[in-house]
Amino acid sequence: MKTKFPLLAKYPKMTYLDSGATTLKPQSVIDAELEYYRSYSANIHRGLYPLSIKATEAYDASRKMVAVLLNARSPHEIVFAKGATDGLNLLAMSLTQNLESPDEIVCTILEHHSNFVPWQQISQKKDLNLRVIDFPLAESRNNGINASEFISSKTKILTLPYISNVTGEVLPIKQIVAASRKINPELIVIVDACQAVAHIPIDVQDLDCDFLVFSGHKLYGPTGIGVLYGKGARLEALAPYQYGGDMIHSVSLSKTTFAPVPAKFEAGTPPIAQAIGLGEAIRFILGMGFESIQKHESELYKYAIESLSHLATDLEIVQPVISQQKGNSIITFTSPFVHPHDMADLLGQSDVCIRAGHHCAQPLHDHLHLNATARISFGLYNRSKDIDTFCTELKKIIGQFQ
Amino acid sequence: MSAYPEHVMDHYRHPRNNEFENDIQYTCSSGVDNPSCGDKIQVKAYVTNGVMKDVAWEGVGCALSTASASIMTEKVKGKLIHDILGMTKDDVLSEIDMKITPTRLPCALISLEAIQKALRENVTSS
Repeated sequence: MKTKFPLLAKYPKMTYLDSGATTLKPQSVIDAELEYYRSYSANIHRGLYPLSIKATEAYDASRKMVAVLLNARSPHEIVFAKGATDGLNLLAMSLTQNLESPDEIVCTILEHHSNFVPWQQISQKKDLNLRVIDFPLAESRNNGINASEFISSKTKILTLPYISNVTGEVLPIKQIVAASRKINPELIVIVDACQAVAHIPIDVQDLDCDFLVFSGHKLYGPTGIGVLYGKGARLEALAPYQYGGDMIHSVSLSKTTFAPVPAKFEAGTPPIAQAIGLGEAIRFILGMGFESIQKHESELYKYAIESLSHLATDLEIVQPVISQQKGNSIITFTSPFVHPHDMADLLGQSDVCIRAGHHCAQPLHDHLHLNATARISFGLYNRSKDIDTFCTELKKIIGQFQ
Repeated sequence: MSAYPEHVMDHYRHPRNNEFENDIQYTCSSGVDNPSCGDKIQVKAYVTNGVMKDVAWEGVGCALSTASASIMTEKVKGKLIHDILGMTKDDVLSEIDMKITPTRLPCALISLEAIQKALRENVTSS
């Protein structure tokens, strides 16, 4: 596996445990992107010569791959964006155009800043009510979901992460959507799938969410590309976010008509090479198969939790997952002896890559009364040896500080 | 094995000036936060005749910010306010005398930032 990833082949001693921040890239993805630049780097859509037709076909093929990955009804439900943050800003701007006080938006305390700050800012500008909920995951498993606790007729938008980038918990999206729609059938549900997309199979029809976003670079794909999925009717009804070339049907001095969905949301020349790279990344991961990925990662997760507990150094794991869920690949923790920054810096000196800080989730850290945390997160290239190396080095570091 | 230099660990384990003294009439104070990592520092200084007669600090943070606060408060004691206000990032780095990556720079610099902030407020108020 490691031979498929050039960075790991180049640095065989590297222990990369930060896939939650970004994933390493398979050779095939790098090759696919480079091949566009090397052999057919024409612009897409309006060209009439073979090179451009080839580029257009590759771009469209990538869109189809995304539709397959998410089980969307058609590629027309897939919008290419610059990343999840771009997609979420599009939704925050466009969906709220006709909202006003006392309309309500609901999000969770788990949100990444990219799925919190846009809603916060637009709510403040338009005097909307932004409710931040602490979704009771454990309770929901035992007693079901009481959606009336967080949804009312005033709620226009519900947004939540599929998997938290800090706690690693997997939210029961399908059940939350179903329970919420019973209270408010018109509710728009947006799922931030950034931490889920590389770890669990996503079926947007089964989840019945209205929109879903993810970033390519978290799925073994390139940076600078992301996906906004939207139910056909929702995308049709949505106003464009950016204007310009390619998202138009006709333009005159006095009037412009817009292109159909999804082109309506893809103004300007898109990140063509990156979209092609993303298509290849999806082929790569579907080739691996989610069943084997999940099996591998859940074994690794279990091993990591056990190994950390054997370190016997009073490590505290942030909201450890109570029962084995599919898709667990994130462990966030603190030590009473070493600040996360010191941990990550010193581990980095031994080529062990972990993340430290607030992980773009300051509200969650405030809520948990934590200043900063350390986080390890797995990708399909990780092995138990990576956990061993991490634990050995961490133990040495803690030893210096005790 | 990855480690901070011994002098840094010493300042971390035995941080100097790490307590506000009850019997000193501090003339100025400040607080600085670094929300990106949770480092927080409060500095109190006793200034007379343009000289930093005494300085103390309290706070929470990583080893680097703790060691830096210890090192820098030792460094500025007895110095002219004018000179302290003229100190820069390079002065801090040469005092700490350790390789610091760009991401950790705020940790290393927060102490001088707080010291200078307190002094600026002292100058304004006197």
